[in-house]
Amino acid sequence: MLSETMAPATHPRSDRCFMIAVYAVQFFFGGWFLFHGSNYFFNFFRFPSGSSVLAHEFIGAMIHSGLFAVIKGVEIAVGVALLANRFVPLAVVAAFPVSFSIAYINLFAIGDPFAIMVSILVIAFNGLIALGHLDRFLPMLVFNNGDPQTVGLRKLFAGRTEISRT
Amino acid sequence: MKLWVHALCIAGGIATPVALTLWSTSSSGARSAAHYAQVDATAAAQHPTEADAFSFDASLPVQTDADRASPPGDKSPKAIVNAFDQMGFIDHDPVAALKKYLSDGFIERNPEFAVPGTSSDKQAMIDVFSKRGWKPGEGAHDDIYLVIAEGPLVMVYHRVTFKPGTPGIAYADIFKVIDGLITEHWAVGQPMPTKNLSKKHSMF
Repeated sequence: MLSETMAPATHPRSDRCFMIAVYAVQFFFGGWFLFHGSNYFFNFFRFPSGSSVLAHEFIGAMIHSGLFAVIKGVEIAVGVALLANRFVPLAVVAAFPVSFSIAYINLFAIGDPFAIMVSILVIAFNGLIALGHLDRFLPMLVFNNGDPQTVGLRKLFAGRTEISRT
Repeated sequence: MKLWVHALCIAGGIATPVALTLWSTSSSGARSAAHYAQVDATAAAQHPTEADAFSFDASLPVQTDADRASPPGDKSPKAIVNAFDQMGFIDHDPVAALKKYLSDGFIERNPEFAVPGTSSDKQAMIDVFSKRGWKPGEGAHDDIYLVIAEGPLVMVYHRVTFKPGTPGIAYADIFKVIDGLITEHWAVGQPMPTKNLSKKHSMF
């Protein structure tokens, strides 16, 4: 939470603006994923069958194979996590394959102005939230990873998943 | 983050995409019902499903049973072939028709029916049509458009479908009839195109 992760009084104004921007995108993105993920099961609005013939076939194949229900389940879980402001780094990682697929289909299988805007926004939003928690991901960028160890498992079972953000 | 601020963020986070989605899917939005109807129609036109019945404009009428009927006792090659087709492929009893109208020395020139290891070409045909979908209720259907006879030879130009609404196959079958029995058979088949490529004339 804000009080745990950021200390506004000790950070420059730009940091606070960045934090507000990331939070704004995070809640919008969470609401978007939750609403559109839930729509697959509850049909709040007409379920989109794809805005081009190729997208129509692609979505149809995913629906018939059952994959679409799994994807929509992931969208709901990501949406809840982002809105609850819990497990946000994990939600960002889980959302990325979905965001990439949405962007790819909109850009290359549909390609009208609305679709291009959606493809840009979904990647930009997902990326901005990731940047807001980049320090969580920096350990993944290590070049010389060394040997596999049980350190992570021992920390997980000891409940020590937090890292310092000072 | 204070609880009330968090609650406001959640409310705003849900309300904003809901409002944008309702706008974009409204009649004036980029993803209106008319937009999706257009996509559905285009997809259906480009990729017809099994439910979309195949149709084409034939210049020839489909022959009726009465068109092919012959006087009782007619043993002409055309009458024999018409009776064979009627029993086998219009009335869906091909095995009985093969047993009745094929000579013992029957020669089959369609490689599709040349079953290695069978005692005769007649028996091979019987084996093939015992399991080929022509039993009553199995969906195979035969529309005969032309029957042309010259001497002992009879040619039948027809369209066979194995599933209702599908394009099927156009066949030209040629039979040789001697002494009231079919002694030889030639056949060529071409799948019906899903679109009329000539734009002017259908295959029939």
